[in-house]
Amino acid sequence: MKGTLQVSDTLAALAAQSTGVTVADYGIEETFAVIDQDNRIYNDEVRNELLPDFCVTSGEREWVYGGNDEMTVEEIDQYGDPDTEKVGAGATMGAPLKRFGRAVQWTWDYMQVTPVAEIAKQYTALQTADLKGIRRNIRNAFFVPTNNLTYRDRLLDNRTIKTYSLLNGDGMAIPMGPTGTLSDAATRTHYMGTASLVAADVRALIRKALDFEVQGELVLYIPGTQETAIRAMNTPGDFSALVDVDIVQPNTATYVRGDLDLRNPNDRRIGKFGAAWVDVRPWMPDNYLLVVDKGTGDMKPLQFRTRPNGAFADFGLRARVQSHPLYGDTWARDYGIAVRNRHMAAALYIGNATYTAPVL
Amino acid sequence: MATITKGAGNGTLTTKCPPSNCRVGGGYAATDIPASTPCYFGTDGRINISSGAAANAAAAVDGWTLEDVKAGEFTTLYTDCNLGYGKGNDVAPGTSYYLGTAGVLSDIATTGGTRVIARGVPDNNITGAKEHKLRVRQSY
Repeated sequence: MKGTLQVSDTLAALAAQSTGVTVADYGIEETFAVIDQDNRIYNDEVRNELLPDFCVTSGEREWVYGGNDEMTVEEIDQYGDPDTEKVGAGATMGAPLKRFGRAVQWTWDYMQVTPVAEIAKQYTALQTADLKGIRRNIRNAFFVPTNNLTYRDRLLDNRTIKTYSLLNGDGMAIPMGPTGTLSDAATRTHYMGTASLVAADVRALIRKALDFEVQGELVLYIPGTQETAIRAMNTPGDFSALVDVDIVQPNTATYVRGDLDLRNPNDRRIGKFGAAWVDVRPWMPDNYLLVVDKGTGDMKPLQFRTRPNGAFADFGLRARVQSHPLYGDTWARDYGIAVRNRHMAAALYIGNATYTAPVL
Repeated sequence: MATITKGAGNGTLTTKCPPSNCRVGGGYAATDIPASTPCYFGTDGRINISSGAAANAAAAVDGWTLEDVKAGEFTTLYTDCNLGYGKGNDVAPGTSYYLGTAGVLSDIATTGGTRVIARGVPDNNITGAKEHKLRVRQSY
């Protein structure tokens, strides 16, 4: 909801009496010190738990991507010398840098009557908005199949940056597979579609990642709406389920080692499909499946780009303005998310044989 | 004429710390007045809801309320700032709005509301439903 925090917005005002310590009593500086401390913990969680799943975090804005090209050898006799060959160079790709934020403002009277807990709620909502924004940008990077070759780095120096989607048949050189196979860059796409999901579609999706050297954990992400369909694909070699370890299974049962989380049905690992773990996640758009090689070190599917020295990479206070009776904060984070290794993920749309990006 | 529907909730001021000059002045409300409503100063100093029903004194817009007020309560009017118009409003970005009847906005000029008093400003949030705002001004 848009607007300014004013006395009519406080729960205490509506209830006609205040409960708890007000910001004025506790102290405005002390209140914001508590908020800052909480915000440090929040940023640590984002940095250490959310981002490492998919992203390399660094100030690097451009890097070279692409694989080895092929050369050949020929037989040579004592008088001969072979002709020369050369391999094609990799391509430069990059990540944008943007700022996402929100302002909060309040009247002087609001601070006099509002409990500290109420203020804390406003800033918790700010953090949640930041988190949702990061997740949305991650989804954008994975699911939007178009390149942006003219992004202008306006927050830095206006340099033109080329950002790319996952492999989309645009001709950029592709890394060699583990058996030395080179894919056709003009036709290989990691955006697939099917009008009716069957196990063969899921196998083909996972195969997109297996065609390359898998660097880390391979995971198939699905929305909750597809859990039943995936579970039904239980032919040997396809889906095998995690079970509740408290329930004794029959000797003839086939299941995956581990414990099924019964308390978070919308956000949990449910088993394996071939080489990939299967995770149900609430951030997955309906009608889409996503396979990701989560990678390791510098080999990850996405880049979380920060400023070169990491400045403003955490969500935090950017400006505090006082113009009595109004006081306002701006909270923001500078970052950009883009695909770093184009072959390390693939998406499947199950609403049509032609892939269409979701509305995010 | 399309009347612009205000959305749910108390939208109010969305410009952060506007300059003091945006603060027009205050007075006692002559009637109950919702937030984000165009108002005029009566000759008795009280604040009334503007109306474009006729080309008369009531068609002036001296400023806009920032909160709901009851009759007899003091309120301060602001101008030249952005106001929220509630969740689920049908404000369209880049659209001009005129004074309609009794504080309501119209997308075409009316008998008393012949000048643009608000423009739709886009909400650029990336994660939630769009809640477009109004850029408001005076008219007299």
